[in-house]
Amino acid sequence: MERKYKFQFSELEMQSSVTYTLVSRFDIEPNILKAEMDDSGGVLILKLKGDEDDLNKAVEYVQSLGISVMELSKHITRDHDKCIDCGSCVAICPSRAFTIDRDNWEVHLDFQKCVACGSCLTSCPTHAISLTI
Amino acid sequence: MVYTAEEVIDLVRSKGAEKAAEEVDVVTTGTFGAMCSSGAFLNFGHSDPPLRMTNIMINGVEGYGGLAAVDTYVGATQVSETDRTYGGGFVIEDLVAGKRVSLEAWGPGTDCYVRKNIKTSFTLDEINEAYLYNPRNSYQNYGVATNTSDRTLHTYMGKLLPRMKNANYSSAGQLSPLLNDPHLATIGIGTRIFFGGGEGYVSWQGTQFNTTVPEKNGVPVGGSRTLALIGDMKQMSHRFVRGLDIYGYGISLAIGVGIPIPILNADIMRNCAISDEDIYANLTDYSVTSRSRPVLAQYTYAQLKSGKIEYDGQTIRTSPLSSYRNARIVAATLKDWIEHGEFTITEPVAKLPEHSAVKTLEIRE
Repeated sequence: MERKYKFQFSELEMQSSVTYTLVSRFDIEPNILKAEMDDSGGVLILKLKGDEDDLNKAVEYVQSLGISVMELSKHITRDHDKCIDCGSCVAICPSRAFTIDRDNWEVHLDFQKCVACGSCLTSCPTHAISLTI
Repeated sequence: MVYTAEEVIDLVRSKGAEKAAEEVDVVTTGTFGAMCSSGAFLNFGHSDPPLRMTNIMINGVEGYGGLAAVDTYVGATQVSETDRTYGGGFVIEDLVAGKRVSLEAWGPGTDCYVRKNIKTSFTLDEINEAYLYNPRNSYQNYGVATNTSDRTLHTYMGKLLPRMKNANYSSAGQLSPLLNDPHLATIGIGTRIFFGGGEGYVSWQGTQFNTTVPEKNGVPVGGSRTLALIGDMKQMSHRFVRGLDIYGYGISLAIGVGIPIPILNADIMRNCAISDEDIYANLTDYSVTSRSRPVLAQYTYAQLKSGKIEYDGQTIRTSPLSSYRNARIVAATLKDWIEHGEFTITEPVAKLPEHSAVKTLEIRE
């Protein structure tokens, strides 16, 4: 199974090689979607692929290091009352989470594909999209 | 019989324009996109004692203070003084949605208007006249925007990623009003239209009305004719009137416009049957900051609407900026009104110009 997580760590935890341990100890296939670091710490957004059991153990391990872990699901919200199905969010989405149904021309959002990059936020002219991470 | 401009394509393909013209009475069109040159005339009514308003703020958005005492014009692109994500387009949307908005106004105080300021609020129902008068709407075709530079651009044509990663287009193509009557055989001053969910009228040619754009398959390959539209805001519906906050550009208004085309002969029928495969638009580079941007290539709306186009061996993903889903709803609603006798077709009282070119502004000492 695949799950997306946001790891948030302080500068104290920056030296530990988290993703390597995920691979070597928990047999997890990590895909780093976003990594940001500065003098106060950093944020890592990754997609983890593995057994459910291994995923749960891995998360426990990461938390034991003092890193805050948040599972990302439906972190992008779309307000259907505000959305006018214009499609401005479609071509700029790097993970192709937004698509247009070419039969009825409705815009669809696939949460599985979304990597919470936030690119769509500045593309939406009706303030219909918000990011909650 | 009433058909939408989409439905009529197959009919004309199978029966031919002559036969179809006998069967079809009216074709309805629709578009729903950003139309920046829009705004609302409002008359507030007089307070007691009355005020000659010269400085007017509605929900923090400035209204024009150079008209008579309690008249104003709220332009769609006027930005709020306190919130960059709010402006005239949203004031118009809020009013149409029935929301209460704040009003602050100041005046010089004269012998006939002694009051010098007012702070109150109002809804659309509580004021006198409220009508949109949009100087340039319903563009006949438009360009396609991309960006060859190394940085993301935020334009009125949306977000343009570096190195031509995406391209944005805005016309509804085969459903767009002026692409279905390309030389305005039936549309003119006085034509009754679907406007923001109510009835409106074509009042004049739109600004930057241009009849000189090269054509392919009988329709211009770029922004050409435009319409000035007028309509009662009190008839409009929030569904078809939306404020837009175009990041990095500013505030605008999206409005649903549908124009009925009476099928008077086979030529008019043939024009209404134009499809996305036959309508072309120019891909231009918005990283060029000069007035005339070079044309990189031409694509049909069928290609643009497929979601990707090819340029110089590279695949470019495409996005519409106007809602084709809502354009369809506009055309279908207008069709329904006509079928139920709730909307009658008008003959224009005057034609729009047959020859008109766009002038440029020269910088003089």
